[in-house]
Amino acid sequence: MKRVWLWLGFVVLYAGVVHAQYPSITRPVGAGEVDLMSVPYLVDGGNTISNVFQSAAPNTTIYVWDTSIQVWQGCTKTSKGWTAGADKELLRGEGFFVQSWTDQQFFLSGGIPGSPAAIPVDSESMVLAYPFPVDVLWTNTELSKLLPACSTVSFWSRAEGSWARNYLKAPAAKGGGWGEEAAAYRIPAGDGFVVRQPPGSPAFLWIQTNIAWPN
Amino acid sequence: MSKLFSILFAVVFCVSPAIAGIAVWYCPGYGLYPYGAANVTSTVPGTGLLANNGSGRTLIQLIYAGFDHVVGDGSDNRVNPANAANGYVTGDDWVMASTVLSRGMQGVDEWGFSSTLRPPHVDLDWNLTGFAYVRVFHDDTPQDGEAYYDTPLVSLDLGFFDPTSFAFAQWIFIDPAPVSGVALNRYIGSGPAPTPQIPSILYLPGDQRLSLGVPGGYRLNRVLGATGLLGNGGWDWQPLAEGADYENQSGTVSIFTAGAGAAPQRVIRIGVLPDP
Repeated sequence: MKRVWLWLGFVVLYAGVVHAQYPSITRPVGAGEVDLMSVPYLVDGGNTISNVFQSAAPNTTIYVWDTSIQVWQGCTKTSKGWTAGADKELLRGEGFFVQSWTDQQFFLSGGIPGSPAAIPVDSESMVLAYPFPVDVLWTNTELSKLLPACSTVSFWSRAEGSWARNYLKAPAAKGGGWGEEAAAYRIPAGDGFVVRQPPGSPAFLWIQTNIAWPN
Repeated sequence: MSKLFSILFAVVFCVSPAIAGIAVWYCPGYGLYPYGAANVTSTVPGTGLLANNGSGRTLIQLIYAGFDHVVGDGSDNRVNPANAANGYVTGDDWVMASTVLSRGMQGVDEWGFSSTLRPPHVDLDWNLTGFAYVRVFHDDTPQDGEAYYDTPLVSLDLGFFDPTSFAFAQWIFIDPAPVSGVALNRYIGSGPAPTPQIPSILYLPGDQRLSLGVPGGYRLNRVLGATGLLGNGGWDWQPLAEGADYENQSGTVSIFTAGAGAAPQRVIRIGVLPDP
């Protein structure tokens, strides 16, 4: 009997460790607020907008950045379902805006994508996200190292409704870093961010292995 | 007819928000250097503008070039030091935004560079097409005879009418970042200024004065003295008083080195302006 309890205890402890490493993400979005999110999971039923946000309240709008024409493309959930564009798949490493007119919470969960992730980064402005469901320091991401000098990264504040943090990468002659404040900035799991490169910068592939916070 | 007007109003109402609004970032992407700096890529401490202007601060302005689409009134006198109330501009230009860069504050280094960006200048009601430029002053108290720099004109991008778009704000880098910085290259009151010849300096033991002639084609603007270095590495420049610390007679400047009126400063700077 004692051995059975011991095994049960081990199983519970083991399951707890796995759960703590990759928890689901809860994103509360208040009425009138806009949140910049991402879906770092393989969601059951697929990662289309209509599936990921199937429980969203009416009048919730998802804005996805169309890199090819550099505009936001939106689709809204109405009382009769989603408007056009909700079949868009939310890609790995892609950020998007969620606009809500009622207080609601979004629970994101699903399978964990394999590591490493390979995310194409265009030479234009892009809305990106860390492709794993963990917090990470901005300057620990491979993306922060791959971006050329004079690139910028902008982080959205849902509470303030603004781009509260904006950082500029220094020229190589000045160390090529992001500065002390950016180096200390922890990206919460499930956040998106905007990256811009100087005109004429080449596109590249962002290869990112999973880094568990606080690495 | 009234229905036609209604439709027209509706069209205008729908269109105007989409073409209005600006969001502009303006800052150095490499660095700012003092007037005459030959090396505008140097990272050697002491070479930046904010290490050489005495205050460690400089004023930068985002300026609309007006309806004539030229800087100032089109002449070389682009800055009016007496027009502080309107940001020292001339012609039909006006200052859209201004910022004081302070060395050591918000990550600003001696070249005015910081990785931590201030929010872009946002004006949701702006609906004027045209051009803007950025002006960098020698310090944050522009005066006649001081140096400054104007960027080339940049066409303003309209269409920023929503906070979500501000991360995509228009960039106006003051310098050709990330390749190099810029040095101030103009003088208030005189436009582009050639470097005057440095005259010979004579020590007159009888009068215990240092004497030098103002270079031909120039007039004396002011004389400054410094007793030592500030905490930020810049010189502690103070204006010297004519009659007490120096004399200016017929284009010859005499600096007292002894006696009651002797200037205590160890380093002297003499500013000249081209003759009108």
